[in-house]
Amino acid sequence: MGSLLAYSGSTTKIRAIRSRLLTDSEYRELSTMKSVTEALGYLKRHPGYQKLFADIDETTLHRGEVEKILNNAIFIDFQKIYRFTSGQQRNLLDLYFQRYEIAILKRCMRMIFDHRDITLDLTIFKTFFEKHSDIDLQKISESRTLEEFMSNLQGSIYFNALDRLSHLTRPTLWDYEMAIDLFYFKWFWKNKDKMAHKEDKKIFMDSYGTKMDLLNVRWIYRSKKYFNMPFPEIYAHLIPVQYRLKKEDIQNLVEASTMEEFNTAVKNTYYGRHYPEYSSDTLDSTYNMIRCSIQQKNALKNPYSIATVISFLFEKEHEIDKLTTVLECIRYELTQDEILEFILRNKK
Amino acid sequence: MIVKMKFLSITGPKADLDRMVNEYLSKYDIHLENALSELRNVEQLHPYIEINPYREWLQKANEFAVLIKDFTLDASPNISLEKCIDFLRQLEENISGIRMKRMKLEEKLEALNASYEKIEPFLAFNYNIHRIMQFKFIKFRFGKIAVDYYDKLAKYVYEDLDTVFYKCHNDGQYIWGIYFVPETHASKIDAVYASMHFERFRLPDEYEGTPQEAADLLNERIANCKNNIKKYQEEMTAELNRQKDMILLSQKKLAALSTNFDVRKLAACTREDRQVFYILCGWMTEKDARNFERDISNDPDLYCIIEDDHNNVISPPPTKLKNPKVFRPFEMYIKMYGLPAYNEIDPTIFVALTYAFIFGAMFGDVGQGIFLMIGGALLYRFKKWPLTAIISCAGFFSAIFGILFGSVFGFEDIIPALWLRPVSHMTTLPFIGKLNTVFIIAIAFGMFLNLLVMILHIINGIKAKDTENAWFDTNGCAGFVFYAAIVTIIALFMTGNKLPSGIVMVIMFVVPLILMALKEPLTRLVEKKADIFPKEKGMFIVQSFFELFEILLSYFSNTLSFVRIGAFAVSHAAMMEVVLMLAGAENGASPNWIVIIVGNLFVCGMEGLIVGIQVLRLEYYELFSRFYKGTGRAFQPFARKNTL
Repeated sequence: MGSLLAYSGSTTKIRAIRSRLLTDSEYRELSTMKSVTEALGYLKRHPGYQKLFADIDETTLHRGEVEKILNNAIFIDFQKIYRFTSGQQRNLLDLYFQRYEIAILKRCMRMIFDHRDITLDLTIFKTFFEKHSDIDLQKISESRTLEEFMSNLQGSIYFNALDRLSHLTRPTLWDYEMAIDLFYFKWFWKNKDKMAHKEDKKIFMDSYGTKMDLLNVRWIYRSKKYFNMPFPEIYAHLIPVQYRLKKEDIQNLVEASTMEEFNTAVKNTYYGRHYPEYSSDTLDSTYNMIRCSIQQKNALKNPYSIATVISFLFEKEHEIDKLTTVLECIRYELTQDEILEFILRNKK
Repeated sequence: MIVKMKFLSITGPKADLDRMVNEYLSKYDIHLENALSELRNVEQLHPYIEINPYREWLQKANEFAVLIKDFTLDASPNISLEKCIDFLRQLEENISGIRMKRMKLEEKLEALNASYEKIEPFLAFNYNIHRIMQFKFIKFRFGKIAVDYYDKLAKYVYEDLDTVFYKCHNDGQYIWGIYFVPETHASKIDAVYASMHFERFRLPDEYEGTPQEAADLLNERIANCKNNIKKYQEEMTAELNRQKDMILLSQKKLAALSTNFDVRKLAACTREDRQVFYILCGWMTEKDARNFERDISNDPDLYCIIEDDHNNVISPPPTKLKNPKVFRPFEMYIKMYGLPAYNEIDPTIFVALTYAFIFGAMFGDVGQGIFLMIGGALLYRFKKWPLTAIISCAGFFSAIFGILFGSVFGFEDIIPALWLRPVSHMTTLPFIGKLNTVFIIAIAFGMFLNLLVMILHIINGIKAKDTENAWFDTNGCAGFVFYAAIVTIIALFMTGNKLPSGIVMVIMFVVPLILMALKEPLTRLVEKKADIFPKEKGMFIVQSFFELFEILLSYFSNTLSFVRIGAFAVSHAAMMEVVLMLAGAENGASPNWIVIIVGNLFVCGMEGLIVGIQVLRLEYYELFSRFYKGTGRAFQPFARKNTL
């Protein structure tokens, strides 16, 4: 009863927003569009994206800008939900919010390492950032050297993780992005203990523990197959969180000498045993499938809980991914069947 | 009273300035003005710029003096400047040896600390470091590794690796330690550690024994070093304290010289082409000025011009208050509000009398009054706080009113009331009805005070030749006539007399009101200026109307404000009654003396404070706002009597 009251606002809001997510039939309709402009025109009429594209002329829009607008869509929904939550629930959202901070920090770091001048358009983040972030966006985005960047970062939670790299003689963007990502995952996971209820904590771990596990497996796969990394280095770059993967699983995965051995190791993990589709070849497509299924299960079981929020945010992210895919496919003039193959495959 | 001031311009040959200052000027209190801005309309003057030669030595003397513990200077024999400087130079030389030694030790201490910092994380390692450094087939690496990476290392890689990691210290972020590796495997294993972000650093081969032993040894040396530094410091302090008298004397001498030298910051110089003269300008009290004039009359190199007409001087004269000793503590209240301008009336005596009198009336109690009087006087004797003297004065009046009201420590039945009892004495007035007599007297007294301050205002206005303030202002003649008329009418009405006829009333009320409303145009008319009326007539009328309204309101509220005098007289008695009731003394039984004493102390403190503030409020708000500006500036003598 308590959670019903606590979550009634956010759940109702989410239901309202969710009704504006694209349905399968809408994806079908979208995939019949002949040009990107036409597809954007369709989105412009769609209730979920009407406002975002309202003041924009879809005929002149550049691809990069479209992606930016779509990404902002998640943030806008996030803000809407934020207003309908309170107290404990905001803990999660605050954590989630940090991904925007990190995204911005990464863009700034790219600017510094590549010596490029990108002007960040921070207008839609600004007010929210000012309230919830201890980073001075203005100063950060004006940093031109690494030293300047670090000194502006002083006092934020990211400082220590990045400062550790200061001894490197030739730091690369990769070192810094890796360090901040690893820090974020670890920090995110540590915060599970702040969840007020046991159930919330379970849901949180289910959703994000799974995510980190799947990411780790994917990372091992890629670093073995494409980069041929030595073992210690693979270990060094794993997310230091294991949820359903055991130590032996990780060791078997990393130290598999052939791809067949690796596949056996994948099949032997918790995920391999529970999801028959999960194999070394389908790591990408099953990633979304497994997360979807876990989240939907949790959201159904506990409709008035944090699960609804997590599940919605995931769906929204997923939708943006799919829309980006569709737009790309249309640009490259793929047929409707091929497009649908890409986006609906995950829904099996 | 405000002391009469004279404006002096002193001049003489430029080089003679120091002699003049040291010989004559330092004996007198003079408030110097900046000669350049004072003589703005004299051309071709320039500032007197010279670097203060005493400053450097003064700084040195100050440096020494900081270390001196006891500042009392027994004798003050006169010493010459040369002796002063010689002494300081000698002292500096004596001390520089000790300083040098201390500095060397400080450098050593720094090196030791650095060495200690390096070994500190490895204290837990229990093996002779020097021996490790000699290893041939086993390589060693000192360093640190981030906690996250250490966990990964321990979890996945460590078991299969031909290496030993010795964990020494964990500071939450990093784990400090040493790993050992066979020489043949070194490059491979170093690579593994490197991918785990192990940060290596080289430990100098300067330690003996285990890290703990080395650290202990270092600590001992550090302590030793610190001790020696302290010893040298003490030696220096002792040396300085031995020379204490000379140091303090030099400091005093140099400070005086330096301050006197700085006179030239306020001086002006004449043109360069002929013989150069300095000019100093400033204010002196009339008496001092006369003495000074007599003093220098025989000096051929010194001329002094005393200006009698203050209108010829650009800056207004500073204010120096001089009041009889009894009233002097009350100057504190004046200074809090703002000093009177030179040509204003000094309200100290007025404040002293009214403050003490009103306080007494509001706090009438013989016992508590005498208590305050004696307590305040004693405190003033020892601490010299002006406020305590004010309390003592107020206590005296409090005791007098106590006799008039017949109240001793709250007991109303010990002595008879010479005048009346505030709580019970009533008067019946027409129109209003029955009322405590003290209220009526308080209001009447307030009316009297209001009239009095209006007269003061008029005097101030006349002194300042300010037509508007003297004649047409709310507190000027017009206001006075109006307010006095009201007072008269009320007095006549209350005493049951017949009121004057309509025409008289009109003259008494309406004429002053019109004058007040038209004060600005009237002033312009009297001063024979053009544009008697402002341009926007409608606006002017509306504004005047509302101002009139505000004026009437302020008369009313200011007058009623004085009711508080009576109210507090009543409330004091009532509060004491409560105390007696709590002590169980109301029906003649023997009271609880502890309650009586505590209650008396409480009422004395609490009500004393409140009444003190309320009276001050009356003074500042009701009275000062009617006649006092407080725009004066204080008389600040330059270099207070630097006799050498």
